[in-house]
Amino acid sequence: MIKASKQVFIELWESLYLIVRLSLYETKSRYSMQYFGYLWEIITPIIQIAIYWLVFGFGLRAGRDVGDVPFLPWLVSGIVPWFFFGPAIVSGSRSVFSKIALVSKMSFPISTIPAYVILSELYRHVAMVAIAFILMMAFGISEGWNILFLPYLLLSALAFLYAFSLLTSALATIIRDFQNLLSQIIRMMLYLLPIFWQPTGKLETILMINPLYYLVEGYRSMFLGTDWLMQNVGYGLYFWGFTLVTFLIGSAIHVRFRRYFIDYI
Amino acid sequence: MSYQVKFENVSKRYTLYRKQSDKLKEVLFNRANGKQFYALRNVTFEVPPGEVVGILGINGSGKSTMSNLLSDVIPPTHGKIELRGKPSLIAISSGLNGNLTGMENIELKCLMLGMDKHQIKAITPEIIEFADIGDFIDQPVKTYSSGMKSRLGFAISINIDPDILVIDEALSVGDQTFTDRCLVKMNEFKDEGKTIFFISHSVSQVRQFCTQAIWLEYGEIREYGPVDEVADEYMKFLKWFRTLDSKRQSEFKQQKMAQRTTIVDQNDIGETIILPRKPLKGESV
Repeated sequence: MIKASKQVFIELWESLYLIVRLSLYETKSRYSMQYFGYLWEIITPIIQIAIYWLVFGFGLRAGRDVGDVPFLPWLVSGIVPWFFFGPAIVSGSRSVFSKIALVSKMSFPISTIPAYVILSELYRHVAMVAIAFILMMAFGISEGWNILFLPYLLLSALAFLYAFSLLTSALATIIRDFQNLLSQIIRMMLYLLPIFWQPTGKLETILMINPLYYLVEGYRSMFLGTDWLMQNVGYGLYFWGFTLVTFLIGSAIHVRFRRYFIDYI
Repeated sequence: MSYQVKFENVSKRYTLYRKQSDKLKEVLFNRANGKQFYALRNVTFEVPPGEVVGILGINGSGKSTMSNLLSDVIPPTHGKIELRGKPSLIAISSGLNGNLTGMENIELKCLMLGMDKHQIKAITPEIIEFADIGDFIDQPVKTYSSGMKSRLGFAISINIDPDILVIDEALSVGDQTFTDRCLVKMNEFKDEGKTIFFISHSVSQVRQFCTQAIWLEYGEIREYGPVDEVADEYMKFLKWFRTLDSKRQSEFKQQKMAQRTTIVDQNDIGETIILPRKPLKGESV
Protein backbone atom coordinates (compact mmCIF):
# COMPACT_ATOMS: atom_id res chain seq x y z
CA MET A 1 0.00 0.00 0.00
CA ILE A 2 2.76 2.40 1.00
CA LYS A 3 4.76 1.33 -2.05
CA ALA A 4 1.84 1.98 -4.41
CA SER A 5 1.24 5.43 -2.90
CA LYS A 6 4.89 6.29 -3.28
CA GLN A 7 4.80 5.20 -6.90
CA VAL A 8 1.73 7.33 -7.64
CA PHE A 9 3.28 10.29 -5.86
CA ILE A 10 6.49 10.03 -7.90
CA GLU A 11 4.53 9.73 -11.14
CA LEU A 12 2.60 12.89 -10.33
CA TRP A 13 5.73 14.78 -9.41
CA GLU A 14 7.54 13.79 -12.57
CA SER A 15 4.58 14.66 -14.80
CA LEU A 16 3.78 18.10 -13.37
CA TYR A 17 4.32 19.92 -16.67
CA LEU A 18 2.27 17.30 -18.50
CA ILE A 19 -0.59 17.65 -16.00
CA VAL A 20 -0.69 21.44 -16.32
CA ARG A 21 -0.64 21.42 -20.13
CA LEU A 22 -3.24 18.69 -20.41
CA SER A 23 -5.52 20.47 -17.93
CA LEU A 24 -5.37 23.64 -20.04
CA TYR A 25 -6.29 21.71 -23.18
CA GLU A 26 -9.07 19.99 -21.29
CA THR A 27 -10.63 23.36 -20.42
CA LYS A 28 -10.02 24.66 -23.89
CA SER A 29 -11.62 21.78 -25.74
CA ARG A 30 -14.68 22.04 -23.50
CA TYR A 31 -15.35 25.66 -24.40
CA SER A 32 -13.85 26.08 -27.84
CA MET A 33 -17.12 25.98 -29.71
CA GLN A 34 -19.01 28.75 -27.93
CA TYR A 35 -18.87 32.47 -28.57
CA PHE A 36 -18.59 33.35 -24.88
CA GLY A 37 -16.14 30.50 -24.29
CA TYR A 38 -14.64 30.74 -20.84
CA LEU A 39 -17.22 33.32 -19.75
CA TRP A 40 -19.71 30.49 -19.38
CA GLU A 41 -17.57 29.12 -16.58
CA ILE A 42 -18.62 32.19 -14.59
CA ILE A 43 -22.09 32.89 -15.98
CA THR A 44 -23.49 29.45 -15.19
CA PRO A 45 -22.68 29.49 -11.45
CA ILE A 46 -23.90 33.07 -11.07
CA ILE A 47 -27.29 32.13 -12.52
CA GLN A 48 -27.45 29.16 -10.17
CA ILE A 49 -26.61 31.31 -7.16
CA ALA A 50 -29.36 33.73 -8.16
CA ILE A 51 -31.88 30.88 -8.24
CA TYR A 52 -30.79 29.46 -4.87
CA TRP A 53 -30.87 32.93 -3.37
CA LEU A 54 -34.43 33.37 -4.57
CA VAL A 55 -35.66 29.93 -3.45
CA PHE A 56 -33.81 29.54 -0.16
CA GLY A 57 -33.15 33.15 0.80
CA PHE A 58 -36.47 34.78 0.00
CA GLY A 59 -38.69 31.73 -0.30
CA LEU A 60 -37.79 29.53 2.65
CA ARG A 61 -35.97 31.99 4.91
CA ALA A 62 -38.13 34.98 4.00
CA GLY A 63 -35.07 37.18 3.73
CA ARG A 64 -33.77 36.56 7.28
CA ASP A 65 -30.04 36.79 7.95
CA VAL A 66 -27.93 33.84 9.11
CA GLY A 67 -26.59 34.96 12.49
CA ASP A 68 -25.41 38.45 11.68
CA VAL A 69 -24.50 37.72 8.07
CA PRO A 70 -26.96 38.45 5.25
CA PHE A 71 -28.07 35.30 3.42
CA LEU A 72 -26.49 36.07 0.05
CA PRO A 73 -22.86 36.28 1.20
CA TRP A 74 -23.47 33.35 3.55
CA LEU A 75 -24.79 31.25 0.68
CA VAL A 76 -21.97 32.31 -1.65
CA SER A 77 -19.33 31.44 0.94
CA GLY A 78 -20.59 27.86 1.04
CA ILE A 79 -21.59 27.28 -2.55
CA VAL A 80 -18.45 28.59 -4.25
CA PRO A 81 -16.35 25.68 -2.95
CA TRP A 82 -19.17 23.31 -3.84
CA PHE A 83 -19.10 24.49 -7.46
CA PHE A 84 -15.54 23.18 -7.43
CA PHE A 85 -15.99 19.93 -5.49
CA GLY A 86 -19.16 18.69 -7.19
CA PRO A 87 -17.99 18.81 -10.82
CA ALA A 88 -14.46 17.75 -9.85
CA ILE A 89 -15.70 14.61 -8.10
CA VAL A 90 -17.99 13.66 -10.97
CA SER A 91 -15.51 14.30 -13.78
CA GLY A 92 -12.64 12.92 -11.72
CA SER A 93 -14.33 9.57 -11.31
CA ARG A 94 -15.23 9.50 -15.00
CA SER A 95 -11.75 10.59 -16.04
CA VAL A 96 -10.00 7.27 -16.53
CA PHE A 97 -12.54 5.51 -18.67
CA SER A 98 -13.30 8.56 -20.77
CA LYS A 99 -9.66 9.48 -21.45
CA ILE A 100 -7.77 6.22 -21.53
CA ALA A 101 -8.45 5.63 -25.22
CA LEU A 102 -6.67 8.90 -26.01
CA VAL A 103 -3.63 7.88 -24.03
CA SER A 104 -3.09 4.75 -26.10
CA LYS A 105 0.20 3.82 -24.50
CA MET A 106 0.81 1.50 -21.62
CA SER A 107 3.79 3.54 -20.53
CA PHE A 108 1.69 6.68 -19.97
CA PRO A 109 1.22 7.29 -16.24
CA ILE A 110 -2.53 6.76 -15.91
CA SER A 111 -2.46 8.19 -12.40
CA THR A 112 -2.08 11.65 -13.95
CA ILE A 113 -5.48 11.47 -15.67
CA PRO A 114 -7.60 12.26 -12.58
CA ALA A 115 -5.05 14.92 -11.63
CA TYR A 116 -5.32 16.92 -14.84
CA VAL A 117 -9.08 16.56 -15.02
CA ILE A 118 -9.41 17.97 -11.48
CA LEU A 119 -6.91 20.69 -12.23
CA SER A 120 -8.95 21.75 -15.25
CA GLU A 121 -11.80 22.55 -12.83
CA LEU A 122 -9.52 24.66 -10.65
CA TYR A 123 -9.18 27.62 -13.01
CA ARG A 124 -12.87 28.44 -12.85
CA HIS A 125 -12.79 27.96 -9.11
CA VAL A 126 -10.04 30.54 -8.62
CA ALA A 127 -12.01 33.07 -10.68
CA MET A 128 -15.12 32.32 -8.60
CA VAL A 129 -13.20 32.82 -5.35
CA ALA A 130 -11.97 36.20 -6.58
CA ILE A 131 -15.52 37.30 -7.45
CA ALA A 132 -16.79 36.02 -4.12
CA PHE A 133 -14.15 38.03 -2.26
CA ILE A 134 -15.22 41.19 -4.07
CA LEU A 135 -18.78 40.46 -2.97
CA MET A 136 -17.68 39.96 0.65
CA MET A 137 -15.87 43.28 0.64
CA ALA A 138 -18.83 45.00 -0.95
CA PHE A 139 -21.00 43.72 1.94
CA GLY A 140 -18.34 44.94 4.35
CA ILE A 141 -17.93 41.43 5.77
CA SER A 142 -14.36 40.74 4.84
CA GLU A 143 -11.35 43.01 4.99
CA GLY A 144 -9.49 40.72 2.64
CA TRP A 145 -6.60 39.60 4.83
CA ASN A 146 -8.17 36.20 5.42
CA ILE A 147 -7.44 35.33 1.78
CA LEU A 148 -4.17 34.12 3.33
CA PHE A 149 -6.04 30.92 4.17
CA LEU A 150 -6.71 30.28 0.48
CA PRO A 151 -3.45 28.40 -0.32
CA TYR A 152 -4.11 26.04 2.60
CA LEU A 153 -7.70 25.45 1.52
CA LEU A 154 -6.77 24.91 -2.14
CA LEU A 155 -4.11 22.42 -1.12
CA SER A 156 -6.54 20.58 1.16
CA ALA A 157 -9.23 20.51 -1.51
CA LEU A 158 -6.87 19.30 -4.25
CA ALA A 159 -5.35 16.63 -2.01
CA PHE A 160 -8.74 15.29 -1.01
CA LEU A 161 -10.25 15.46 -4.50
CA TYR A 162 -7.27 13.68 -6.03
CA ALA A 163 -7.16 10.94 -3.41
CA PHE A 164 -10.90 10.40 -3.76
CA SER A 165 -10.84 10.46 -7.59
CA LEU A 166 -7.95 8.02 -7.73
CA LEU A 167 -10.16 5.55 -5.89
CA THR A 168 -13.44 6.31 -7.67
CA SER A 169 -11.93 6.46 -11.16
CA ALA A 170 -10.54 2.95 -10.71
CA LEU A 171 -13.85 1.65 -9.38
CA ALA A 172 -15.88 3.42 -12.07
CA THR A 173 -13.71 1.92 -14.80
CA ILE A 174 -14.18 -1.62 -13.53
CA ILE A 175 -17.81 -1.22 -12.49
CA ARG A 176 -19.51 1.32 -14.69
CA ASP A 177 -22.62 1.52 -12.48
CA PHE A 178 -20.52 3.12 -9.80
CA GLN A 179 -20.59 6.34 -11.78
CA ASN A 180 -24.39 6.52 -11.61
CA LEU A 181 -24.36 5.86 -7.89
CA LEU A 182 -21.78 8.54 -7.34
CA SER A 183 -23.76 11.15 -9.32
CA GLN A 184 -26.74 10.50 -7.07
CA ILE A 185 -24.64 10.79 -3.93
CA ILE A 186 -23.21 14.07 -5.16
CA ARG A 187 -26.68 15.42 -5.84
CA MET A 188 -27.68 14.50 -2.29
CA MET A 189 -24.49 15.88 -0.82
CA LEU A 190 -25.48 19.42 -1.76
CA TYR A 191 -28.13 19.21 0.98
CA LEU A 192 -26.04 17.29 3.50
CA LEU A 193 -23.42 20.01 3.66
CA PRO A 194 -23.77 23.35 5.42
CA ILE A 195 -24.45 25.17 2.15
CA PHE A 196 -28.10 26.18 2.41
CA TRP A 197 -28.59 25.60 6.12
CA GLN A 198 -26.57 25.30 9.31
CA PRO A 199 -26.95 21.90 11.02
CA THR A 200 -26.75 21.90 14.81
CA GLY A 201 -26.42 19.42 17.67
CA LYS A 202 -26.20 15.69 17.03
CA LEU A 203 -27.03 16.13 13.33
CA GLU A 204 -24.02 18.37 12.93
CA THR A 205 -21.74 15.75 14.49
CA ILE A 206 -23.03 13.06 12.14
CA LEU A 207 -22.71 15.24 9.05
CA MET A 208 -19.19 16.19 10.09
CA ILE A 209 -18.05 12.63 9.33
CA ASN A 210 -18.07 13.78 5.71
CA PRO A 211 -14.67 15.37 5.04
CA LEU A 212 -16.25 17.80 2.57
CA TYR A 213 -17.96 19.36 5.58
CA TYR A 214 -14.56 20.48 6.80
CA LEU A 215 -13.73 22.04 3.45
CA VAL A 216 -17.05 23.88 3.09
CA GLU A 217 -16.84 25.25 6.65
CA GLY A 218 -13.21 26.11 6.04
CA TYR A 219 -14.01 28.14 2.94
CA ARG A 220 -16.89 29.83 4.75
CA SER A 221 -14.60 30.74 7.59
CA MET A 222 -12.17 32.26 5.12
CA PHE A 223 -14.82 34.26 3.26
CA LEU A 224 -16.63 35.49 6.37
CA GLY A 225 -13.46 36.12 8.32
CA THR A 226 -14.30 33.87 11.28
CA ASP A 227 -11.77 31.85 13.24
CA TRP A 228 -13.50 28.48 12.66
CA LEU A 229 -10.40 26.99 11.01
CA MET A 230 -8.24 27.92 14.00
CA GLN A 231 -10.74 26.54 16.48
CA ASN A 232 -11.12 23.20 14.70
CA VAL A 233 -7.57 21.96 14.41
CA GLY A 234 -8.62 18.52 15.67
CA TYR A 235 -11.26 18.26 12.96
CA GLY A 236 -8.58 19.36 10.48
CA LEU A 237 -6.41 16.45 11.57
CA TYR A 238 -9.37 14.11 11.04
CA PHE A 239 -9.76 15.54 7.53
CA TRP A 240 -6.11 14.96 6.66
CA GLY A 241 -6.18 11.47 8.15
CA PHE A 242 -9.25 10.66 6.06
CA THR A 243 -7.50 12.01 2.95
CA LEU A 244 -4.37 10.01 3.64
CA VAL A 245 -6.25 6.74 4.14
CA THR A 246 -8.27 7.37 0.96
CA PHE A 247 -5.05 8.01 -0.92
CA LEU A 248 -3.45 4.81 0.41
CA ILE A 249 -6.45 2.68 -0.56
CA GLY A 250 -6.97 4.52 -3.86
CA SER A 251 -3.38 4.14 -5.02
CA ALA A 252 -3.29 0.48 -3.99
CA ILE A 253 -6.39 -0.26 -6.09
CA HIS A 254 -5.23 1.95 -8.94
CA VAL A 255 -1.79 0.33 -9.18
CA ARG A 256 -3.24 -3.16 -8.80
CA PHE A 257 -5.78 -2.80 -11.62
CA ARG A 258 -4.41 -0.24 -14.02
CA ARG A 259 -2.94 -2.68 -16.48
CA TYR A 260 -6.44 -4.05 -17.00
CA PHE A 261 -8.12 -0.66 -17.44
CA ILE A 262 -7.66 -0.66 -21.22
CA ASP A 263 -9.34 -4.07 -21.47
CA TYR A 264 -12.42 -2.75 -19.70
CA ILE A 265 -13.21 0.00 -22.15
CA MET B 1 21.37 -13.09 -33.17
CA SER B 2 20.28 -9.63 -32.20
CA TYR B 3 16.64 -8.80 -32.44
CA GLN B 4 14.55 -5.69 -32.23
CA VAL B 5 11.24 -7.32 -31.45
CA LYS B 6 10.75 -10.61 -29.68
CA PHE B 7 7.52 -12.40 -28.81
CA GLU B 8 7.82 -15.32 -26.45
CA ASN B 9 4.73 -17.51 -26.07
CA VAL B 10 2.53 -14.44 -26.24
CA SER B 11 -1.20 -14.92 -25.80
CA LYS B 12 -3.93 -12.35 -25.60
CA ARG B 13 -7.09 -13.69 -24.08
CA TYR B 14 -10.50 -12.12 -23.89
CA THR B 15 -13.39 -13.50 -21.93
CA LEU B 16 -16.75 -13.72 -23.65
CA TYR B 17 -18.96 -12.78 -20.74
CA ARG B 18 -22.47 -14.03 -20.67
CA LYS B 19 -23.54 -11.30 -18.35
CA GLN B 20 -22.09 -8.17 -16.87
CA SER B 21 -21.72 -9.67 -13.40
CA ASP B 22 -19.29 -12.31 -14.67
CA LYS B 23 -16.91 -9.51 -15.43
CA LEU B 24 -17.05 -8.32 -11.84
CA LYS B 25 -16.52 -11.82 -10.50
CA GLU B 26 -13.41 -12.12 -12.59
CA VAL B 27 -12.01 -8.91 -11.15
CA LEU B 28 -12.84 -9.79 -7.56
CA PHE B 29 -11.92 -13.46 -7.48
CA ASN B 30 -9.37 -13.48 -10.27
CA ARG B 31 -11.12 -16.45 -11.82
CA ALA B 32 -12.42 -16.43 -15.34
CA ASN B 33 -16.13 -17.03 -15.84
CA GLY B 34 -17.50 -17.68 -19.28
CA LYS B 35 -15.90 -18.75 -22.50
CA GLN B 36 -12.30 -17.83 -23.11
CA PHE B 37 -11.32 -16.52 -26.47
CA TYR B 38 -7.74 -16.21 -27.65
CA ALA B 39 -7.20 -13.33 -30.04
CA LEU B 40 -3.61 -14.51 -30.18
CA ARG B 41 -2.47 -17.86 -28.95
CA ASN B 42 1.08 -18.85 -28.09
CA VAL B 43 2.79 -16.63 -30.60
CA THR B 44 6.57 -16.76 -30.74
CA PHE B 45 8.83 -14.96 -33.19
CA GLU B 46 11.87 -12.71 -33.42
CA VAL B 47 12.47 -9.87 -35.83
CA PRO B 48 15.98 -8.53 -36.45
CA PRO B 49 16.47 -4.77 -36.95
CA GLY B 50 16.01 -3.28 -40.40
CA GLU B 51 13.30 -5.65 -41.54
CA VAL B 52 9.93 -4.69 -42.90
CA VAL B 53 7.46 -7.31 -41.81
CA GLY B 54 4.12 -7.65 -43.50
CA ILE B 55 1.33 -9.15 -41.43
CA LEU B 56 -1.19 -11.07 -43.49
CA GLY B 57 -4.36 -12.84 -42.54
CA ILE B 58 -8.06 -12.89 -43.22
CA ASN B 59 -10.56 -10.97 -41.07
CA GLY B 60 -10.51 -11.97 -37.43
CA SER B 61 -7.14 -13.62 -37.51
CA GLY B 62 -5.70 -11.33 -34.83
CA LYS B 63 -3.98 -8.68 -36.92
CA SER B 64 -5.28 -5.71 -34.94
CA THR B 65 -4.51 -7.36 -31.61
CA MET B 66 -1.03 -7.96 -32.94
CA SER B 67 -0.60 -4.29 -33.89
CA ASN B 68 -1.83 -3.16 -30.47
CA LEU B 69 0.58 -5.49 -28.71
CA LEU B 70 3.46 -4.43 -30.95
CA SER B 71 2.85 -0.77 -30.21
CA ASP B 72 2.41 -1.29 -26.47
CA VAL B 73 -1.20 -0.14 -26.41
CA ILE B 74 -2.45 -3.25 -24.63
CA PRO B 75 -0.59 -5.69 -22.39
CA PRO B 76 -0.38 -9.41 -23.27
CA THR B 77 -2.28 -11.87 -21.07
CA HIS B 78 0.58 -14.36 -21.06
CA GLY B 79 4.10 -14.41 -22.37
CA LYS B 80 6.79 -11.83 -22.82
CA ILE B 81 7.18 -9.12 -25.44
CA GLU B 82 10.52 -7.38 -25.75
CA LEU B 83 10.73 -4.21 -27.79
CA ARG B 84 14.09 -2.61 -28.36
CA GLY B 85 13.26 1.07 -28.66
CA LYS B 86 10.16 3.20 -28.88
CA PRO B 87 7.17 1.84 -30.81
CA SER B 88 4.72 4.00 -32.69
CA LEU B 89 1.35 2.98 -34.07
CA ILE B 90 -0.16 4.50 -37.16
CA ALA B 91 -3.80 3.69 -37.54
CA ILE B 92 -6.68 5.36 -39.34
CA SER B 93 -8.35 6.54 -36.15
CA SER B 94 -5.41 8.32 -34.66
CA GLY B 95 -7.09 9.65 -31.51
CA LEU B 96 -7.15 13.32 -32.39
CA ASN B 97 -9.37 15.70 -30.42
CA GLY B 98 -11.91 17.21 -32.80
CA ASN B 99 -12.46 20.38 -30.77
CA LEU B 100 -8.83 21.37 -30.78
CA THR B 101 -6.85 22.71 -33.74
CA GLY B 102 -4.30 20.68 -35.62
CA MET B 103 -1.53 22.63 -33.93
CA GLU B 104 -2.91 21.92 -30.45
CA ASN B 105 -3.40 18.29 -31.31
CA ILE B 106 0.25 18.01 -32.25
CA GLU B 107 1.30 19.23 -28.82
CA LEU B 108 -1.30 17.13 -27.02
CA LYS B 109 -0.33 13.96 -28.84
CA CYS B 110 3.37 14.53 -28.28
CA LEU B 111 2.75 15.16 -24.57
CA MET B 112 0.83 11.93 -24.35
CA LEU B 113 3.74 10.14 -25.96
CA GLY B 114 5.97 11.38 -23.17
CA MET B 115 7.92 14.17 -24.87
CA ASP B 116 9.04 17.32 -23.10
CA LYS B 117 8.41 20.83 -24.35
CA HIS B 118 11.79 21.27 -26.05
CA GLN B 119 11.43 18.07 -28.02
CA ILE B 120 7.92 19.09 -29.03
CA LYS B 121 9.08 22.51 -30.17
CA ALA B 122 11.82 20.91 -32.24
CA ILE B 123 9.66 18.48 -34.16
CA THR B 124 6.50 20.55 -34.69
CA PRO B 125 7.70 22.20 -37.95
CA GLU B 126 8.59 18.80 -39.41
CA ILE B 127 5.16 17.47 -38.57
CA ILE B 128 3.42 20.47 -40.13
CA GLU B 129 5.48 20.15 -43.28
CA PHE B 130 4.88 16.45 -43.60
CA ALA B 131 1.14 16.68 -42.99
CA ASP B 132 0.88 19.39 -45.66
CA ILE B 133 -2.58 20.65 -44.73
CA GLY B 134 -1.86 24.37 -45.16
CA ASP B 135 -3.95 26.87 -43.23
CA PHE B 136 -6.10 24.13 -41.80
CA ILE B 137 -3.42 23.50 -39.20
CA ASP B 138 -5.00 26.29 -37.10
CA GLN B 139 -8.56 25.05 -37.60
CA PRO B 140 -10.37 22.55 -35.35
CA VAL B 141 -9.67 19.00 -36.41
CA LYS B 142 -13.37 18.22 -36.77
CA THR B 143 -13.49 20.40 -39.87
CA TYR B 144 -10.83 18.22 -41.53
CA SER B 145 -11.55 15.76 -44.30
CA SER B 146 -10.75 12.14 -43.51
CA GLY B 147 -7.65 12.36 -45.69
CA MET B 148 -6.39 15.41 -43.78
CA LYS B 149 -7.02 13.76 -40.45
CA SER B 150 -5.11 10.65 -41.32
CA ARG B 151 -2.31 12.70 -42.83
CA LEU B 152 -1.92 14.65 -39.61
CA GLY B 153 -2.03 11.48 -37.53
CA PHE B 154 0.50 9.85 -39.78
CA ALA B 155 2.77 12.89 -39.72
CA ILE B 156 2.80 12.93 -35.91
CA SER B 157 3.43 9.21 -35.52
CA ILE B 158 6.17 9.11 -38.11
CA ASN B 159 8.03 12.21 -36.93
CA ILE B 160 8.39 11.29 -33.28
CA ASP B 161 11.39 9.22 -34.37
CA PRO B 162 10.15 5.78 -33.41
CA ASP B 163 12.38 2.72 -33.49
CA ILE B 164 9.55 0.37 -34.28
CA LEU B 165 6.82 1.53 -36.59
CA VAL B 166 3.49 -0.28 -36.78
CA ILE B 167 1.30 0.66 -39.72
CA ASP B 168 -2.23 -0.66 -39.46
CA GLU B 169 -4.12 -0.27 -42.75
CA ALA B 170 -3.32 3.42 -42.60
CA LEU B 171 -2.10 3.89 -46.12
CA SER B 172 -5.44 3.05 -47.67
CA VAL B 173 -6.91 6.52 -47.09
CA GLY B 174 -4.25 8.76 -48.60
CA ASP B 175 -3.99 9.54 -52.30
CA GLN B 176 -1.13 8.24 -54.41
CA THR B 177 1.16 11.24 -53.82
CA PHE B 178 0.81 10.96 -50.06
CA THR B 179 1.31 7.20 -50.16
CA ASP B 180 4.47 7.76 -52.17
CA ARG B 181 5.74 10.28 -49.63
CA CYS B 182 5.08 7.79 -46.86
CA LEU B 183 6.87 5.04 -48.72
CA VAL B 184 9.89 7.30 -49.14
CA LYS B 185 9.87 8.03 -45.42
CA MET B 186 9.51 4.37 -44.57
CA ASN B 187 12.38 3.45 -46.85
CA GLU B 188 14.47 5.98 -44.93
CA PHE B 189 13.53 4.16 -41.74
CA LYS B 190 14.42 0.88 -43.30
CA ASP B 191 17.87 2.17 -44.22
CA GLU B 192 18.38 3.46 -40.68
CA GLY B 193 17.86 -0.09 -39.47
CA LYS B 194 14.47 0.46 -37.88
CA THR B 195 11.86 -2.23 -37.85
CA ILE B 196 8.54 -1.70 -39.55
CA PHE B 197 5.40 -3.79 -39.28
CA PHE B 198 2.99 -3.38 -42.10
CA ILE B 199 -0.53 -4.66 -41.70
CA SER B 200 -2.53 -4.76 -44.87
CA HIS B 201 -5.11 -6.72 -46.78
CA SER B 202 -3.37 -5.89 -50.00
CA VAL B 203 -0.96 -8.73 -50.75
CA SER B 204 0.57 -6.78 -53.63
CA GLN B 205 1.42 -3.82 -51.35
CA VAL B 206 3.01 -6.22 -48.86
CA ARG B 207 5.04 -7.90 -51.60
CA GLN B 208 6.19 -4.56 -52.95
CA PHE B 209 7.26 -3.10 -49.66
CA CYS B 210 8.10 -5.83 -47.14
CA THR B 211 11.10 -8.09 -46.75
CA GLN B 212 9.44 -10.63 -44.48
CA ALA B 213 5.92 -11.66 -43.71
CA ILE B 214 3.94 -13.25 -40.91
CA TRP B 215 0.79 -15.08 -41.84
CA LEU B 216 -1.67 -15.17 -38.98
CA GLU B 217 -4.40 -17.74 -38.99
CA TYR B 218 -7.02 -17.61 -36.24
CA GLY B 219 -4.65 -16.27 -33.64
CA GLU B 220 -1.66 -18.43 -34.45
CA ILE B 221 1.30 -18.02 -36.72
CA ARG B 222 0.81 -20.19 -39.76
CA GLU B 223 4.00 -19.12 -41.42
CA TYR B 224 6.84 -16.65 -40.92
CA GLY B 225 9.58 -16.15 -43.47
CA PRO B 226 10.71 -14.21 -46.55
CA VAL B 227 7.84 -12.24 -48.01
CA ASP B 228 7.54 -14.01 -51.36
CA GLU B 229 7.31 -17.49 -49.87
CA VAL B 230 4.71 -16.50 -47.31
CA ALA B 231 2.70 -14.43 -49.76
CA ASP B 232 2.64 -17.29 -52.28
CA GLU B 233 1.40 -19.72 -49.65
CA TYR B 234 -1.16 -17.21 -48.45
CA MET B 235 -2.46 -16.67 -51.97
CA LYS B 236 -2.71 -20.43 -52.41
CA PHE B 237 -4.71 -20.64 -49.21
CA LEU B 238 -7.02 -17.83 -50.27
CA LYS B 239 -7.66 -19.55 -53.61
CA TRP B 240 -8.41 -22.83 -51.87
CA PHE B 241 -10.62 -21.12 -49.30
CA ARG B 242 -12.64 -19.44 -52.03
CA THR B 243 -13.34 -22.73 -53.76
CA LEU B 244 -15.09 -24.04 -50.66
CA ASP B 245 -18.83 -23.58 -50.56
CA SER B 246 -20.24 -21.51 -47.73
CA LYS B 247 -21.12 -24.55 -45.63
CA ARG B 248 -17.61 -25.90 -45.69
CA GLN B 249 -16.19 -22.45 -45.12
CA SER B 250 -18.16 -22.10 -41.91
CA GLU B 251 -17.24 -25.64 -40.87
CA PHE B 252 -13.61 -24.73 -41.29
CA LYS B 253 -14.09 -21.56 -39.27
CA GLN B 254 -15.89 -23.43 -36.50
CA GLN B 255 -13.16 -25.99 -36.25
CA LYS B 256 -10.56 -23.26 -35.92
CA MET B 257 -12.75 -21.40 -33.44
CA ALA B 258 -12.90 -24.44 -31.18
CA GLN B 259 -9.14 -24.44 -31.13
CA ARG B 260 -9.12 -20.80 -30.25
CA THR B 261 -11.28 -21.20 -27.17
CA THR B 262 -9.20 -24.02 -25.72
CA ILE B 263 -7.36 -22.80 -22.65
CA VAL B 264 -3.62 -22.51 -23.03
CA ASP B 265 -1.63 -24.02 -20.21
CA GLN B 266 0.09 -20.83 -19.16
CA ASN B 267 0.07 -19.23 -15.77
CA ASP B 268 2.49 -16.35 -16.02
CA ILE B 269 1.28 -12.77 -16.24
CA GLY B 270 2.21 -11.28 -19.57
CA GLU B 271 4.46 -8.26 -19.79
CA THR B 272 5.82 -5.86 -22.36
CA ILE B 273 9.38 -4.76 -21.79
CA ILE B 274 10.80 -1.77 -23.61
CA LEU B 275 14.54 -2.01 -23.79
CA PRO B 276 16.91 0.82 -24.69
CA ARG B 277 17.37 1.10 -28.42
CA LYS B 278 21.13 0.51 -28.52
CA PRO B 279 22.41 -3.05 -28.03
CA LEU B 280 23.66 -3.61 -24.51
CA LYS B 281 27.33 -4.02 -23.69
CA GLY B 282 28.86 -7.34 -24.62
CA GLU B 283 26.09 -8.10 -27.05
CA SER B 284 26.98 -8.64 -30.67
CA VAL B 285 25.40 -6.17 -33.04
